[in-house]
Order: sequence, then C-alpha cells, then structure tokens
Amino acid sequence: MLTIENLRKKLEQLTLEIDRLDIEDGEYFVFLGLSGAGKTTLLEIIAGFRKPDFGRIILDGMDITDKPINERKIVMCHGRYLFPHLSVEENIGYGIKDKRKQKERVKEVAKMLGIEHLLKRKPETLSMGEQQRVALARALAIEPKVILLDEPLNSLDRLTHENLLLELKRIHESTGTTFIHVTHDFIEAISLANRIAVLKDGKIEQCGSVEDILRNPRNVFVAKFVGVKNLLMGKIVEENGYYVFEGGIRIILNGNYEFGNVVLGIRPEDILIISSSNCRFRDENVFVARVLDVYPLTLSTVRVLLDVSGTKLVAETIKSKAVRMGLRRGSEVQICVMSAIPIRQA
Amino acid sequence: MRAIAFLALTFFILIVLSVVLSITGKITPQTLQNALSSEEVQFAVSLSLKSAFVATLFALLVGVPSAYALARYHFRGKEVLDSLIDLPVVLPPLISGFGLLIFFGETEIGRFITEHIVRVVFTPCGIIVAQFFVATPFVIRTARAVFESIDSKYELVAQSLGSSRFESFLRVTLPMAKKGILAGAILAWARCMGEFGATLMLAGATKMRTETLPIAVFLNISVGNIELALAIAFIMLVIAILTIISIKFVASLR
Repeated sequence: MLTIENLRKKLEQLTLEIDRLDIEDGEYFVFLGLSGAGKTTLLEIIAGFRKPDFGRIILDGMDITDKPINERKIVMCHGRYLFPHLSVEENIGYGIKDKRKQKERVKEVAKMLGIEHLLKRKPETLSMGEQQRVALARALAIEPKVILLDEPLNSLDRLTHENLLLELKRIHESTGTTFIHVTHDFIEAISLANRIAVLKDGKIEQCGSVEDILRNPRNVFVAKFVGVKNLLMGKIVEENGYYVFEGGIRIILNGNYEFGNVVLGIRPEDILIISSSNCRFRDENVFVARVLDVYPLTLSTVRVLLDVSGTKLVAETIKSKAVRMGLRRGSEVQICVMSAIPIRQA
Repeated sequence: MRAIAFLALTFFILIVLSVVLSITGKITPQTLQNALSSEEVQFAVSLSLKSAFVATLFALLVGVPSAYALARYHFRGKEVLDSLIDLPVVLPPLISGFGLLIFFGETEIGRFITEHIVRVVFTPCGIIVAQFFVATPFVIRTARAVFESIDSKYELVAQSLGSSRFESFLRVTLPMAKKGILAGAILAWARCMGEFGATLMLAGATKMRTETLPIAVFLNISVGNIELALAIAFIMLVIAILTIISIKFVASLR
C-alpha cells in the first residue's frame, strides 16, 4: 500500500496539500485534474524526483520520503523520455539488473505489449502510441511495485488512444501492479480507474470509486468535471412528504436531503426523451420541452439542447433513437428527468 | 543594407584569404619537404600533438563534471564562478602564463608541487599545464550548453528504472551529450595546439625541449629562418582547416 501523509509542497501557483491518501496494492488509481492542478508534481514527489516541503510517502509500511529514486521500486513511465541513443530493445532492457535474463525478459514484455517488431528501432522512428508502449514495457520489465503514468494517452489520435487505453487496462489486470495515472480526461479516468481523486489547485476535492464520483459529486467543480452538464440553482423544500427541488423547474427527489439552497446536477444521459404521442410514464418529473438544437456527439450518440419553459437543459441520447423520433430544432417533446443529484455549494 | 552587408563580408573574407595566401604562396614543395624532414619540426609536431592530447584529456576530465555542476545544480555564488571560468579566455595568455609561473615558482603550494610531485616551470609538463589552463573553459562552456539542453527528466527516469545517479549520468546523459562534448574537445584541442603566450611564460621557449609548433615558429623567426617558420605556419594552417572540417563532421553526425 502506498500512503501519502500530511503532504505539503509549495509551488509557484499553488500549494499541494494532501492530508492522507491510501492507494491499495494492485489498484488502478487516477488523479484527475485540470492542467496546473499539481498532478504532475504530485507524481514526481511519489517518484522521488522532487522532495515535499513537508509530509511523508510510505510504501508498504516503509517511509520512502527521503529514499533515493532508484531504491523506491516506483517507476515513472513516460513515452517522451525514451533514451534516444538506445534502441527499443536497449530501452526496455535498461533497468534489468540480471544481464543473463535481460534478453529473455525484454522479449517477454515486448510480446505482452505487441511491440516485438520494433525492438531494433530507435525511439525517434516510433509513433507516439508506440513510444508509450515501449515506455510501459521498459517500466514493466523491472517488475516494480508501482508504475506512474503521466498523461500517457495525451495527444494520441482517437484510435491509438482507444487501443492504448484497452492495453493499459489489460496490462494492469494481468500484472497486478499498482498503477497511478494522472490525466485531465475524465472519460479516460472512468474507463481505467478503480478509484479516482479529483484534484483542484493542489487539493483533493473528492476521492472515491468511479461510481461514487459519478453519482455523488461532492461539489460543483467535481460535478462539472465528471460530466454533469446541467446545474440548476434552487432550493429543496418539503411537499406532501416528498423532497422537492424548486428552481426554474420542479423536480421530485428520491431520498432524504437537507432543506435549503442547493445546486441540482442532472447528467445529460439521465434526461430521457419521450416522443410526445407515446406517453406511458407516470407524470413524475415529466416536462414538455422544445428542442433548441441537436448535434452529433460521437458516432452513436447525439446531444440535444432543450428548453423547458425557460430553463435550458442538455440531454444526450442514442443517435438512432433521435433519428427515429425525428428530433430536430423546433420539435416539441416530452422529457423525463430520471435522476438528479443535489449538490451543496462549497 | 544588402549591399553594405555583402561588402563587409567580402572585405573580411579577402583579409582571411590574403593571410592564407601569404603563407601558402611562399611555400614550395621543396621547402615543405625540407621542413618535414628536419628533426626540429618533427620534434615540434610530435610534442604539440602529445601535449595537446594530454591537456585536452585533462580538460575533459575536469571540464565535463564542472559543466555538469553548473548546468544541473543551483548554488550560491554560481554567477561568480561562471565569470571566473571566463577569465582564462579573456585574460591575455601571456598574463595567464605569467601568473602560473609565479604560482609554481614563487608560492608555497607551487614549490611543494615542484618538489614532491612534478616540475612544471620550464619543462614540457609546463606546456600541458598552460594548455590545460587555457583550454578547459572551452570544454566547460560547450559541455554546459549541451547538458542544459538535455531535459534532466531523462536522468530521473533512468534512476526510477534503478540506476544510481552516477550510473544514470554515465548511461544516459553522457551518451546524449557525446556529440556536443566531442565538438568542445576538438575546439579545446585546437586551442591547445595554438597555445603560445602562456606556454612561453611557463614552459619557456627552449629549442628541442619545450618547442611546440607555435614556439618553433617564434624561435625560427627570431633567428631569421623565415623559410622554416613559413613551413611550420603552413602545417598549422592545415591543422586549423582539419579542425574546422572535423567540427562540421561531428556536428553532422547523428
């Protein structure tokens, strides 16, 4: 287990502050944050590249805060820092101490990552995706306890991004090594992570399982970051034994909440668009809406901008459904808000 | 502007060419052959090559780590040290040599070195010391620039792969800096080959003893043997041209 305790590091723009964070063995842990949130610095502190002003890093019960980088069993995996004067094979073999087993081990990890055909090449001749694979192979070759990944999928084309993402997931599952990954891409985070910590200005805003973060974002920043597109200002009141949100539109809530001012978050995929003629839903949280715009989001999904008596909402739906329903600018539809998340203002 | 620029360029190139032609123009194959077969010239060529090689080697041994310190670490007084390193470049070599002469001849430390380690004053060893003093700043300058151009994260990543600091330097940074350091070494070597002022003061100008190529030119001019002086000058011209070619070649290496 890797523990970060009472960490403080003053940077130019912000101070990194983490009171306590435990990362379990074999976990895929993602630090999610905008650029400049201190993610890379945090990773470098874990790697030992930089010293914290204060606090401890503990790996398996041992304080490694002041340990030299090479004695930590924590590897920084970075495609941009392949050694340019060495071939792919020599890069992967760089950290293997037992020279007799070197060749064999290099072959093994190269095979695992599907880069055997690149072994004789120089890093500069590789594509970015290939460079990342080589960097990952180089890290795996020495069987570290923890692998650190600094935006490994950044600036890759869509297809390579997707392939490498799947690869990371597969490699993580098959090796059981702890992966700590930093990114600004929340889709990447939720596809890979067991747990996520959302960083803002050097502090952890929320840390939890993917499901937890998606379903219960602790504040507006986290909510926005994890794709909650609709944030309505209003208050929670009691009505006939129900908790009801009032603010532009009225939404009946499931569960118990504090009364008073609140921001209501609604995920775009939680707004169901019902064709007006076919209304079988009970009328709870069903509204008439006018379509302001429809545009493709991915190959298979569309985003629909809606107006519910002056309140603007963003919904997402399957493209084929939108086509079937004939959704277009000016259409009148019924929508049902399936789920909503009351968020306290920070 | 174009006209002025090219006029200035042509003017200077003409001066350089006239110097080259003045040396080469007076040389006949016969005088060159005579010079090359003379014992004195053979001695001077051999001494210059040997001393410049050894001095460059020392300059690298001292200069490369110094450059690394300046490039990678921040410490108090770095600016002052940086200026001190430039001093041997800016100072007239004659004054450098004079300083070295007094240091080795007149100070306690200098005398201790002379008595217990090696005699420097008026010996071939003095040539190496003088050349080293003048050439090391070139190694430091070029190597520092190369180290600064290499992202220190390469070393850190190497360390996270299990290398010690020293090993990461040897296996990653040094090979990456190889080309730049080699170019610096060639410059330093060329500086050593041409060193005159400091050598004259510290090692003296003793015929067939501390007689490097530049000293040989000086000695022969002073006794009026212009023909031999010209032939040696020609040899040095060839060496200079080879130096320029080799630096260009190193720069073109991948």
